[in-house]
Amino acid sequence: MTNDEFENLIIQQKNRLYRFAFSILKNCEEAEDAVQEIVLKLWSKRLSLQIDKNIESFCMQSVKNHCFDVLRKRTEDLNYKNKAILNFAENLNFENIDLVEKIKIEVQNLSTQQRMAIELKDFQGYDYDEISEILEMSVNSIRVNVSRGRKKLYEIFKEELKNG
Amino acid sequence: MDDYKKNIEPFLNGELNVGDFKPDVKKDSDTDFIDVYKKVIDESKDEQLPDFNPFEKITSSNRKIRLNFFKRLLSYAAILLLLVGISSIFILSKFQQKTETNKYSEQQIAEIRKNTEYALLYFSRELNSTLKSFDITNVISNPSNDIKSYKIEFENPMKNLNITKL
Repeated sequence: MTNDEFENLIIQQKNRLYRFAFSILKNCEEAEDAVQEIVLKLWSKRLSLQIDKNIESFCMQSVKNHCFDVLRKRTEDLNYKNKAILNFAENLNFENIDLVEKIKIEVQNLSTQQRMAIELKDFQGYDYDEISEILEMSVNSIRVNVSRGRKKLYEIFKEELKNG
Repeated sequence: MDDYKKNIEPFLNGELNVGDFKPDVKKDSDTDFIDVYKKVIDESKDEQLPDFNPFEKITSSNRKIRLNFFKRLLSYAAILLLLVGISSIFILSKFQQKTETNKYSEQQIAEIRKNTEYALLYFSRELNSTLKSFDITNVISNPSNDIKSYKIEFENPMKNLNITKL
């Protein structure tokens, strides 16, 4: 892959990679850092990269692996941040925000596996086979994660409607 | 609405996508959920993402590589310069030592000159006196072998002079 082809690929994929990294890390700066780190890693391998292969899935897979490394390395720090996000969500006055915002927050509160599956399936529009390649999981496990995530959101939505 | 009712279960089971639902005018909780979920997805797509440079780390990494290259180059040059300096100092000192050993001091040269002058003077004096004694005794007609008995005997100042030691 030439330098120009590599630049074009990254410019095209930048937002997708960022969204996916953010869905795992739940932190803007860490997500940006993850994307830059992946771009740097891919840059060093650019000569061996082939356009005809599914490079998009490869990029997403690299982001996922890097984000998991970050999560492992910063467990304590992340716990603190998760708590902060949960506190923020709990402190929000739900009555004053609409259902769309509530569901957005609840998507962030899903487990990492469910969030990743929902992000790739519903928000980024990948099919199960592509997600399976990216997450290195079986199609069935992904389907289960998507289903559980959607059901959780549906239950929350129903509860909100009852309370509302 | 029937369509929604029929499709919500497969959707929740992960078998259908949000895009498979068509907008419905009749509303209930299921319809609302799909609409809200669609809105969440659309809003997140329209969300302004931070405008960051994905190539930033490549630039900084390239800068680091360049800097390291120059540092290495500079250190190699410094080592080379040091080696050249040390070897030139060594060669210069050796050369100086050699020229000093081959060089006589002014005092030694003066002494040699003086000794040579004395030797020549003494030799010429002795030669004169010998020639004079030849004249006196009229031995010019004698066989040449006899001349050997008139060999010059004097203390030659150059005899014990060791030039190599100078």
